[in-house]
Amino acid sequence: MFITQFLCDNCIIDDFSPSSKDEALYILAEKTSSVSGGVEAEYILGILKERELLGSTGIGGGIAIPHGKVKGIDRLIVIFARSKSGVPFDAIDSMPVHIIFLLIAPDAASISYLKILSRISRLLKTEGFYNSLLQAEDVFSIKKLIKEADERLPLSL
Amino acid sequence: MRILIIGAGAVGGHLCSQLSDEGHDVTLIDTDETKLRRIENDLNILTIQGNGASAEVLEEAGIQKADLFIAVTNIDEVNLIACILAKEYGVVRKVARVRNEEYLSVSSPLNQSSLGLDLLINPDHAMCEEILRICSHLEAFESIELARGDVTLIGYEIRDNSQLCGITLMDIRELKGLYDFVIPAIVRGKETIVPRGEDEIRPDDKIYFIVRRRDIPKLEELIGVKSKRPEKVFIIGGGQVGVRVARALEEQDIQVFLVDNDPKQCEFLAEALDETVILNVDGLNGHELINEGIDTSDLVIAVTSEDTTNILASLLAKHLGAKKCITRISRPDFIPLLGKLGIDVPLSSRLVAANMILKFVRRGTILSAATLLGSHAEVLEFVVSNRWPYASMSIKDIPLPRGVNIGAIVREGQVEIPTGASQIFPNDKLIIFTLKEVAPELEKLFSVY
Repeated sequence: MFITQFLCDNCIIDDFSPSSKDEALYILAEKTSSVSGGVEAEYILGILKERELLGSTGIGGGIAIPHGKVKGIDRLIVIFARSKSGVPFDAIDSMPVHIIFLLIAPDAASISYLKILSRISRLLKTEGFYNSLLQAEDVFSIKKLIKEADERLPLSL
Repeated sequence: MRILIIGAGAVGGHLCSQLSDEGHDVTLIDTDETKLRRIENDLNILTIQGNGASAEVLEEAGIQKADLFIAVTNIDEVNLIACILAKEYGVVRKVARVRNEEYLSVSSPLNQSSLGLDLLINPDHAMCEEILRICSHLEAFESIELARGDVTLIGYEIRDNSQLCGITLMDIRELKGLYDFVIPAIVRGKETIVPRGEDEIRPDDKIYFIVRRRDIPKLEELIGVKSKRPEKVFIIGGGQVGVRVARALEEQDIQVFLVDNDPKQCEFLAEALDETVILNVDGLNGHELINEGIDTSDLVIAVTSEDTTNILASLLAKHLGAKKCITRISRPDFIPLLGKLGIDVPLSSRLVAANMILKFVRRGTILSAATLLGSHAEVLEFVVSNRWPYASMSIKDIPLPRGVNIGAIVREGQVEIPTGASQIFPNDKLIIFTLKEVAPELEKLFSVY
């Protein structure tokens, strides 16, 4: 299973510049809503916020991986967002977040959800990957970078 | 270490077996020769028949050379006098079991510090603490607080609808940052597995996690369970443990029903407790208990003085519809049976008290230890000495025996859930999970001579 399978062309936000964590989550929820076709943004937002209450998904080093399971969604959805200026995200190292991978999964238990979540986390540890994402010129090159790194990463452990 | 134990009862016997297994020189004193013979047959220890509160007997047992003195007869005064004698003989560390509340309160003229004791253990208090801890994580089958409560070792049974099923340990390791914990052991059927990266989580696995206490809700979200506080609790047995637990639970605004079949005791209980409903009913009378609503209770705690009553009352309550039960057992022989019978949480008074004592006994820098019930494993806390040859190394470069997992590093009050790359420094406190058979090897690795 590759991450790129679930990252559609309009799932990439290049110029992400919300002024607060709430606004960031709202924009991400709206994007998911539009991609999913029909699930309300407010509902998705509630689930994301509930997860953040348990502990920020801003895992430090400018990276956040918000995630959750949403009723009414029929497949995994990955949204990528890049913020050159940085988003306040209440991250564990208190630094602003520049690279966000959002993962939304159907409510029913499936092994792919945690597998992909784990893969995203692993992908972001690829050396140089974070910096090249930040420096990529446009949506097209971001997508290309992710695809290449994803394909280089061994499939299953 | 030379250890003198007074009292060959349940706690004394358990301590003898644990401590002699670990290679300590143990001498056991009791007045009852039959008890001594039985223990002597099983274990390689020295026994002396006589009164532990007698100087002559203590001298015969070699008290002048003892490093640790443990008095656990069932008579408080014998334990206390024995400890006072031990103090006179210059024994540095002294532990006594004491039931009478009078000796335990700080305001009492005879308390732990005025008696010069290192530890006064009240088995009922220890039992209550354990029960209350279980109440706070009802979905877990076991939980042990470590590092002064900042870190918890907690066990959950994985249901087949959990999203963790089919996930490998390697996948989980990658989630570091989002979900920080270590899985030191998985109990699968009769086997205790120390998992490696490629091992997969399966339905019905009982998994131990070492996790920061504040991350427990996050862990429960990942597993797909949610521990709610119990709303309605039945306690069978209005003895010391029953009253203490009832008092603590009613303070948390939990609806408590306390059942005792002795009308006199019920009068006393009604005086002692404010909000708790006292029921003068036999804990084995299903009909009456249903009338009081045991079928819709979240938790039943059976703590009468009789094992058989506790077991039967728990089974009955579960049969009637109670969600979960905690069952006090004094006879350890019963414990292996209980899982099969459907008893959720058997608690052995002996293990609970003995574990508290064992914390004080460990050699070198081991701060505390807990035996995991039903599994052949232990959790230890070590403080790294600056003379330790592996200080400043990464975990993966330390020759840890197989079956050992470092679950947490506590440094200047901060808790780190480590990976193989994590470095260890002098004065770090390590929380270590180990299979019993490699514990002595581990102690050797950590002791600095």
